[in-house]
Amino acid sequence: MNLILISSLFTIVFSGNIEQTVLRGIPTSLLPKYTLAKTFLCLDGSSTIPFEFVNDDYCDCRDGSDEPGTSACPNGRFFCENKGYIGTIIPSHFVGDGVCDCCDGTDEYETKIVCNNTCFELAQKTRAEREARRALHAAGVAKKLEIISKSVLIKSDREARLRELEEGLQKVEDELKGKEELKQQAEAPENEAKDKHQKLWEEQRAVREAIARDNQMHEMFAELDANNDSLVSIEELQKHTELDSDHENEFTVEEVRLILGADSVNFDEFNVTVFDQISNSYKKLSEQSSETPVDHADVAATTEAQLDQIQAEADEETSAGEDEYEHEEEQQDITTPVATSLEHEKHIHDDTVPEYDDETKKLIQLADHARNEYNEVEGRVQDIKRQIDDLKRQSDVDTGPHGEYSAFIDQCYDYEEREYTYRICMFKDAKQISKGGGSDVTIGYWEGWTGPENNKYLKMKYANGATCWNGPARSLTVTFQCGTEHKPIDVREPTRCEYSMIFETPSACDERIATAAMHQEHEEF
Amino acid sequence: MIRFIHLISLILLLNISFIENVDRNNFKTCEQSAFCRRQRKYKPDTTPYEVDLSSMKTITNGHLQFSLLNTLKSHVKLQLDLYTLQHNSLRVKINEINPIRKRYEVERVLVSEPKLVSVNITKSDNNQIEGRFDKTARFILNAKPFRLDLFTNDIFVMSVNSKNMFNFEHYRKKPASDGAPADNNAEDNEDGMWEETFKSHHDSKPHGPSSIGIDVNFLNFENVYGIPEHADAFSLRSTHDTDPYRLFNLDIFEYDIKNPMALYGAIPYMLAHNEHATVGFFWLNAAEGWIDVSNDKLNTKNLFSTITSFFGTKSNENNEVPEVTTHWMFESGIFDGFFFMGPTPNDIFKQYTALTGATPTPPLWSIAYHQCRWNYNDEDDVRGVNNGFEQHQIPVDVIWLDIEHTNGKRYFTWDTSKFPNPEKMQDDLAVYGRKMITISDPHIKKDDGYQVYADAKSRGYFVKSKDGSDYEGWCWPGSSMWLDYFNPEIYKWYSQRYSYDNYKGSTPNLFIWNDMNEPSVFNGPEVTFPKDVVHYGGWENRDVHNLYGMLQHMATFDGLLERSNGNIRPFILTRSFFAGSQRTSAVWTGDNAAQWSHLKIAVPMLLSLSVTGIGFIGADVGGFFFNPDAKLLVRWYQAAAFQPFFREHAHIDTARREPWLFGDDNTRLIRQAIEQRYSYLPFWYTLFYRQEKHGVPPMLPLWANFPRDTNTFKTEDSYMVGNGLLVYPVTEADINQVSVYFPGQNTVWYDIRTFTQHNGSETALINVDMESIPIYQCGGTIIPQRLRKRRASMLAIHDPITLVVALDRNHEAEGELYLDDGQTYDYRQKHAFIHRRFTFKNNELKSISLDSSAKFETDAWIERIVIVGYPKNPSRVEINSGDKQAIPIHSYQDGSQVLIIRRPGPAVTTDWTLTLS
Repeated sequence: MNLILISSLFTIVFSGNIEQTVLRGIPTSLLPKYTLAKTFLCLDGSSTIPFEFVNDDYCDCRDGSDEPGTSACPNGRFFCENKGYIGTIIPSHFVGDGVCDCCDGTDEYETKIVCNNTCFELAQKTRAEREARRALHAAGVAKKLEIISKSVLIKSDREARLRELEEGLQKVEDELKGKEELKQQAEAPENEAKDKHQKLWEEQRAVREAIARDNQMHEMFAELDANNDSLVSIEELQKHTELDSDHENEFTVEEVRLILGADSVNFDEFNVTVFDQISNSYKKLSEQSSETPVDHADVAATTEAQLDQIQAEADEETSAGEDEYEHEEEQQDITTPVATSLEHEKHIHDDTVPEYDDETKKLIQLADHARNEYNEVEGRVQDIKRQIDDLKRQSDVDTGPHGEYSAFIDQCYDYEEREYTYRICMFKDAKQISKGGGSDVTIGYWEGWTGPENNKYLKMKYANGATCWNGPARSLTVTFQCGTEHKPIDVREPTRCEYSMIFETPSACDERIATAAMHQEHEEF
Repeated sequence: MIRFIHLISLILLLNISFIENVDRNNFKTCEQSAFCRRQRKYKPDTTPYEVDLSSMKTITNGHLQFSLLNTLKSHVKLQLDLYTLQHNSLRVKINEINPIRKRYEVERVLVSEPKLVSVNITKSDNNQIEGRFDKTARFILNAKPFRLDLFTNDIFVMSVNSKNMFNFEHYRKKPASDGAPADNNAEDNEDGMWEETFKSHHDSKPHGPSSIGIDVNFLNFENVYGIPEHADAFSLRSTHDTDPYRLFNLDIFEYDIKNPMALYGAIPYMLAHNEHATVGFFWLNAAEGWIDVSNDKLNTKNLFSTITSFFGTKSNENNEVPEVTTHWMFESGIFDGFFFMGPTPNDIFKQYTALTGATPTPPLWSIAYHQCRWNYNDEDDVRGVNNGFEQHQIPVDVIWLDIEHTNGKRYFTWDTSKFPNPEKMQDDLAVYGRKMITISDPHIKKDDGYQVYADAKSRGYFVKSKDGSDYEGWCWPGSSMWLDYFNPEIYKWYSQRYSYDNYKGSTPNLFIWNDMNEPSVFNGPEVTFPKDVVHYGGWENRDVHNLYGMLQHMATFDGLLERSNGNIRPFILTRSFFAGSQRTSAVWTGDNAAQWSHLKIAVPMLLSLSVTGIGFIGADVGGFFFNPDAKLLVRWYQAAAFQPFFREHAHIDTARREPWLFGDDNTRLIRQAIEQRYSYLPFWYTLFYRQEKHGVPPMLPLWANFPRDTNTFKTEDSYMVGNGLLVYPVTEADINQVSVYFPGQNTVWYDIRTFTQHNGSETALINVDMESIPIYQCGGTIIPQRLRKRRASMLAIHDPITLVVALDRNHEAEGELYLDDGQTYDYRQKHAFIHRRFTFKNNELKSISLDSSAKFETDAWIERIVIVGYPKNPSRVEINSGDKQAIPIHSYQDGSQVLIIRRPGPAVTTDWTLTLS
């Protein structure tokens, strides 16, 4: 005892009675462990120390339990009594650090700073906040219960509807089978009649074409055979320079002979070997002479010269400092010929199939009717199937143990920010829509509920959105909190491309908060 | 099994080091830099330079002047000025006499005109002048050929131009366009002398060639250090097979390690150390520089026949001694060399900082823990991070805001949609004793609606292109311009931007970060200014490039000082730096990566900065680029907790990494590391004060404390904090053992956690788990700590102190404690501080004041004294202070020989004696 008193000589002697000093920072519940005695057992049982060591501003216990009222232990716990408010525990290293942590200011008993006692105001404020919170949750819970009961209704409706649809589907599918048979029955004679009609027409057309070819050939032969010797000779054909396949040089005797296959040909030979070779290029001599004679070389020269000039002008323009690729574009514009009309590209066949005969027309009418009836029923089948799929998808969505989140089904919500609108379509996807134009960016597709084990429906996640440059795929985590309406109230990007949204909804309101808070109040203040 | 694990980790490590990050094609090689190409190939058999001894003039006592002639170019006349300086230092200037264009001499670096000491000319004949000055310094200037030999304590340490590589390119007229050289000399028109092109960038070189090369050789040395900034070994490697080390301030995107490429800052200062002496060479030049390093052998038989027994050791049987030869090349300016003759490491630190200044004692909070990220997005985010630290009970002193806090990268503004009330945000942090730091980069957004731009534009304050128009380039805000801090008026105007009036939303709790100040110009050559842009006074950026970043952070410092009327210590962090930056700014190693190799390289990088005067330094915890896994992050916290500047920082594309995001276990480990940092803050603070007073940096290579222990000369896996702690950070992923070398014969080391003892001059295998930070207190030292926890350092200023007395083999120890208010200049202006020395000798521990005039009011007291290595349980412990006496309780652990004195109780302000018997 003597030793200890001496050892304290140099330390600051705190004013106040011993009890206040020694028992500082100890919660009422633990006071029995700190009864004045010779020794003190550290609360973790690790050692026994003289009782004088308790709150003597030196850390003796491993768990810091000997210094609840000083900052001596890094791991001690200080009890703020906070009269008029709730008693709280703070780390004992907050004691005497110049920061007012207890509302009664008792943690700063040794420092010069003045801590106002704010417990009364704090209690009022806390009470008001708690009441506001309770009221919010109460209002929210009412809406949530509506959602739940609606969800039950929706669910049973959905199931009834599903049953109905499935029964209906069976019936319609049976009907479809009947219609299909009828359709097949009507289509068989129709096809037969159509085939017959087509075949007949093709035969007729072949005959017509043969006659036309023959006429053309006779005319051509007569024209070519200038000396009327019933032979077409090399000299006779050579006049038709349009038949020269290379155009470059003269239409030589050798080239002509190659076409004729001999020095001259008679009509039969002309028919077999020559006509088909030349019929596409051939022109009457009179037609040729009526055209303006143009030298191919001249054409080329003129065009090139014109191009050069246009080119030079273009060069002048672009050399004023425009980028090279623009220059190239202009060049392309000049050299690519631009069609003025597409008409001549079209190949118009004037020989269309003649109308069906009346009998066939009748058969087609019958078949069309059968087909229409079939298609109509098939459409109904698809429609029912789609409805069934939709209903099944809806019932597969996890909307919470009681369907609290069922109101979200097929709903989208927007959050407006300065630069973007964030649109979340529940259980589907989330997008970032730029207000300054530009395409939407998907920041995630519905992945699932990701709240902690004891509160799974606190958070949901949308993942695998568009990939960031030099970064990961975008994702969004939505955290729900109680509110009276469904609405996102904040979107942030705490880490690049990992978005987080806070979403208010009655679905997240808590019955316990709505009801229990009322009772607690009196116990705590 | 252990061997197997080692092998795997080695393979993994090799893999990582193969990751190529930087695009090297964006940066010049020596071959692509014309002057380097010319100088590097300059290797004549004999030097054409001669000193004309007959020209010697004594300007004042301590200043001799000579003519220096190039015998091949008689028309070119150089002047050599030799100054004998206090602190065993010699300055040698070589400049042109009457050049056609004045050559740039660096300003703003030296703290004042160096003080001369008288020289005693001990020999003077027709070829040599020998002089002795100050304590141990001696020079011999050899005339023909030109050579300068330097001695300390009569030991031959340095030799200049002994390899004949001195080569001074005088200013000359441009050769006529027909190709005929103006000076009738073919070499005046070499490729790249009058213009050069790199990638798409053309350098007009209007003044032609102007470079200087010189060899400085360190005799009987095997290790040289310094010339930061490079991501390379501490003991500089031979550049035989690589480019020379480059000094040219650049923003290198995703820099690679283990190569001589230039980085963000430059200090043209090299040290050499052996068991006899520590010496240094500093060439004050701010142009682009390249330095070749070569480990050679010098044959002593025929050389220097006039000098005998000069090495302190005998040469080997082949008459050879080792020699590190270095070849220095700068693009312009003058030769302005400072030679420091040591001879001890502490002498060297003093000598260099006497010239360029020491780091002043930083605010206490700035050596605590900093939380940074690109970016904390808005006020709620900042509040959330602050609450995170509260909730997880992790101490933190500063929260930082990167570029996104501004309105479109317009510095001195706020994005008001995200930061509507910045004053309130800062006030809220201040409640917890915490500060905020915002970024302020040098590029000024080109926008007439931006006040800073509009004012600067109308006043003509921007750096000019070669044609005289305002130079425009690209950086974060898009089209930007750069202030010309070289103009004193602009410098002052910029510093005034930091006044509370001009910087709206700033409060006394706001401090500044200057980034991108090399400067970084996204579309410039090598991502910086073209060399032919023009600064104040008509100097080209070519002449002054490496000074730009320093001038910005100096002006920022002045601004913060001014805003508090000179009362509050500013804090600035800069990325770019030059010699002298230490006076006003902390430095970090820029944009590193979340890779184990980057954690490891931080130690040699920080040591290189430390020994060249930049003592307040750190690397981004976790690595800036990429995502560290939990293990790497924890190890990084553990390492950085014992490095001078301790800041977590991360790229905007990385995942969040606040300390509590990696699970409870890792949160606990990170909390422990940060708490350890806080517990040693009194020690760190004392070391920073010592740096201000004596120039000794807080983070030191082992040889600084054990100069004769040759095993430490290449050490870069461990280092010292002051003279007290040996730190061996774990920098490998999967190891359960590290091999720690304990320096010093007859030295004993104590594990700071277990107090296990290790002998000096021995290597020990130490088992490590994720909790381990292998750190050892040196026997013979007394370290002050604060073992109480606080949420921020400024809240602990008056908390009690624990002294850890680690006894040496003679059962003696000593140490110091420095305390003040942690943030004002009262320690200088009002002597408001406490500086005490503790000595343990003959079973007595004494506390005495080192400065009787000092007075600082504090309740702080000694709550615990831990004496480690005490052989027996004393029967009685008694403490006396004045006429007061007490017998405190003590406990003793036989196994670990630890004696703990409980609550001895004296106020730290008093003298006292503790007696054991």
